[in-house]
Amino acid sequence: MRVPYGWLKDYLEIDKSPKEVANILTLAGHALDKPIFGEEGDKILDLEDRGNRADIMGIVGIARDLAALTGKILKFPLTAPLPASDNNKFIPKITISSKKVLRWTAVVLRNVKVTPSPKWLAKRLASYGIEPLNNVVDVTNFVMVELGMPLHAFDLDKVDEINLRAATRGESLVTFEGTKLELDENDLVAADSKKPLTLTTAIGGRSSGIAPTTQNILLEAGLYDQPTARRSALRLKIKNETSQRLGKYLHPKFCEVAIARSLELFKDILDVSPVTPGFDYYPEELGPTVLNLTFSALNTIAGEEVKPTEAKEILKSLEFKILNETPLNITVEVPYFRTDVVGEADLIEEVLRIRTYEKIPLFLPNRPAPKKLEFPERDLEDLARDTLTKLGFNEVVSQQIIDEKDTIKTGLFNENKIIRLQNSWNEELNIMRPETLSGQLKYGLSYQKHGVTTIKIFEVGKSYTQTGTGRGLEKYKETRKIAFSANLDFLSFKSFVETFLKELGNFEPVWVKEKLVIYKEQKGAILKTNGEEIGEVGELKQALLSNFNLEGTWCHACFYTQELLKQAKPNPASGVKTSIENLVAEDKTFEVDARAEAGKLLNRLRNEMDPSTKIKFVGIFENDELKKQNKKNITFNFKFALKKAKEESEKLKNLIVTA
Amino acid sequence: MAKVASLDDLQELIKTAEQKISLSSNLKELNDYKLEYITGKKSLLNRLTQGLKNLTESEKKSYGQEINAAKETLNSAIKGAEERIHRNYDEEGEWFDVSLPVPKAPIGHMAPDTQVIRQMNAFFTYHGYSVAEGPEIETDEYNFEKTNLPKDHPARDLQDTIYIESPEVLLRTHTSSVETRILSSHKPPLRFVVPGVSFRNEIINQSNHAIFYQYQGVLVDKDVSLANLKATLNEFAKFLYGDKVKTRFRTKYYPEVEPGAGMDILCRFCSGTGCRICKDRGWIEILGSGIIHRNLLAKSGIDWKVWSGFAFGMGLDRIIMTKFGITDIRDLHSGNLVFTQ
Ligand SMILES: [Zn+2]
Repeated sequence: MRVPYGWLKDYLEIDKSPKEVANILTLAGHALDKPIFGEEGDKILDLEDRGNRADIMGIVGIARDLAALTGKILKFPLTAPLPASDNNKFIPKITISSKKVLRWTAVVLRNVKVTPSPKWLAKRLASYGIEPLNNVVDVTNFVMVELGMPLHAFDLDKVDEINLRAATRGESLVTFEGTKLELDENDLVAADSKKPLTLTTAIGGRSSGIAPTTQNILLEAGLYDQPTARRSALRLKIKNETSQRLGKYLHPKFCEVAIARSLELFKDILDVSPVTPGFDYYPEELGPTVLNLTFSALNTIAGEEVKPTEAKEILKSLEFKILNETPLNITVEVPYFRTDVVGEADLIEEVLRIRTYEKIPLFLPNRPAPKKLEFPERDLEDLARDTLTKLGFNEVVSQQIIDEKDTIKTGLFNENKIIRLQNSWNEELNIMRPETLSGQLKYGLSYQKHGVTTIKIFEVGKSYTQTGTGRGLEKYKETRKIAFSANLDFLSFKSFVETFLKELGNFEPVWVKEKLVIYKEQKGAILKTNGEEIGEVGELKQALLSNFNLEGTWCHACFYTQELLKQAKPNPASGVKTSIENLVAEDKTFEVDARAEAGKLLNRLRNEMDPSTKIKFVGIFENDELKKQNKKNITFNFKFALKKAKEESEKLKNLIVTA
Repeated sequence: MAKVASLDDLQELIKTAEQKISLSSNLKELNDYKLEYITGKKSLLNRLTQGLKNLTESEKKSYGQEINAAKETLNSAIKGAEERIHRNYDEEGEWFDVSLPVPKAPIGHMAPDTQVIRQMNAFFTYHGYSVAEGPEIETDEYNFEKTNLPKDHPARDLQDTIYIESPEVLLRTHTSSVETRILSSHKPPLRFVVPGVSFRNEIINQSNHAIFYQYQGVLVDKDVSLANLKATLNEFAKFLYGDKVKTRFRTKYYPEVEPGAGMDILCRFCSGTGCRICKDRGWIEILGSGIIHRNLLAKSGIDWKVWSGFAFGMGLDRIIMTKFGITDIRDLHSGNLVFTQ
């Protein structure tokens, strides 16, 4: 909302500079949105328009707040009386055929002379940023900016009747600016017997507007269902002074006040008065809002005592009427223009706002802290972040909304599981990511471009899929993942995976070879703990890598937070030993089938031997002779605890492994 | 000619010699010790042997044995040192350039988002807040209805929503949806913060993105005041920007709160006189806050006659960008951000 400083001064005495005024208004809820601009003596304050107050879309509304804030009296502009209304005798014939019309007030003025406006009026409008046109249109615009209530003037001789009704699909309207609007049944129009004359919630039409030749006018102020006004404007892409104001919750009383103010100006500038009768459609008159303010509630929220007299004076300065008072509370009538004040908390804000929040004291909350809320997944993911950064991985955060082409490049695209957005700011970015791999590989490419030789990255994030069953939210699944990638070969990468899992939850998973879409056939595995799948690891396919312009060998691992959480074991010792244990070491070699898996054999040995015996993989030996027999040798190192050395060594000697 | 040392002195001399030999770091040094203690004309051993002449036969015998033992000790020390030096010949080695540039050893970093979030979490967990979270795919109910944004509320226009299944399933437009979820499922008193992503269907540019990160805080207890809120936020501002930060607390409208408040910090570019960066305000807004709206509490099943609370929320992206010198918000999560050593 632009507020010309000079215009603001019409309604109250101001002994402060534009900057000081802007500062006072900012503290009270009307923040300066842009630097003060305009010529010296004609400064414009552009105030943020985000609140729920309709009244401050008029300069008088701002003036009223400023008066209360600076202890001055508001000078409300002069008005002229409305002619008595008689809707049946009003000419032209007005029909209201939509429930979305909340009030419609109109008067007819005859024998007007359309000329340029007087200088003061043209200057006021220009300072606000509206180009002066002629005295009739300028008066309606002036009152709109002054009070916040839009008005419209028809050339009466171009209008045989007016019907306020829903448009029908296929109807159109050429605006006074020359734009053609394609209307439908959601739009509200003022039409004559043939066609829409105005989109009454937003913009006037060309055919019935004021021209230099206009002699008789119909001046109207109407209020409509606000959501309808907002939706029409949004759909038809109209954003103007009228649509912005009619989209707010203006009180129907504004109709009569705006007409009364216009009549005063028409009398003053054009020397014309309305004919009798006038027209006033107001089917459901709104009574005043009456609210209670309890002083104790005010004091609690303020955090200190606010004197009842101070609270009352502030409310009175904002034109609230005190209807009743006791030592504990007051009952007030909310002025019609403050449609935003609907509860006690609103009254409290009014008092504290005009007092300014600067006066509110500082007291930290002093009650005991409540019980901690538990989010174990989050804790585990935080530990994963710590562990992976210790292992030299860099964390990345990629976008949740992606281009489906990226998922297609990974080979993980599955139309049935994709969550598509119904609307997006970008045509290409239109699905929720079903995988976190593509986002990670994009980061990988950036690292590659920066010439980083060993690239290790991770992301803690979600993938989003639909399940196809259930209703509403049930259909959609957010899967928490800890995923990491590096340009390393399988075994080097595996070292990191093993350390990560050990640190995270003492995991010693079983590696089960599995053909997965993204990995090389022999180098992909599912990791299981207690028979449950906790994640997957593998060397990425060459074709996939080239889709992302990545060079060399890359591995990727992806773990499911939920599953990890279920299987994690406490890791209290975390590898710390107080002294060197007395251990007796011994190597043993097993001759096994050429395709026997060393990891599986190790697990078997661990099951066979006492838990105090530490077993380590040493190496694999193959020679031509063994190969001929389709065999290989695998050597393990056994460390026995002193006490059990003899017994365990004996056990090992007799251990027969067939694989 | 030196006097013959006492037996004790002799042992002391040998110990000193043995220690020097064991610490010698190269062959030249070791050779010098050899001369000094064993083989040289005036070596320690020679001098001691010569001293024998003046002794009685019985003295000669016991002293001679001591000298022989010392000789053995020193010889074996020399031998040991020789072996050690040969093993570690690099201690002397060839000319070496210690200034040779090398690549820095790599370490891992948390993402800028995580670093900033963890910093803030540290402050709030100290003050008794839990770190909470919730779904990103949300329902109209938790995102709008319960946050005091019923259908047709004008403020919904400010939050251009991205829908998955209009009008019921959407991407949360703010982290207030987590607030309403937690208030609906837990009993007060409550204190929690919610760091998280939100989505709006907005035109994106250098400083605005449709995907953005927020940090929200909620406290519900008895008799919660604006004074509590203001003090908490003041402490937080000091934590973020240092003790000298100047803050300002002012009225601001948000549908989820009443009364509503914004917090500004004094513009560090103009120190309050007004400039382009602070839109001539002299102050820069850092967060929005207020006393939780009674409707929000009621819709989450909390009796506002007994409980009240405050909430605050701030955008994280700008703070992250300032801290890490990132000038374009689109670089934050698009895959461009790289930690180089
Ligand atoms: Zn500044």
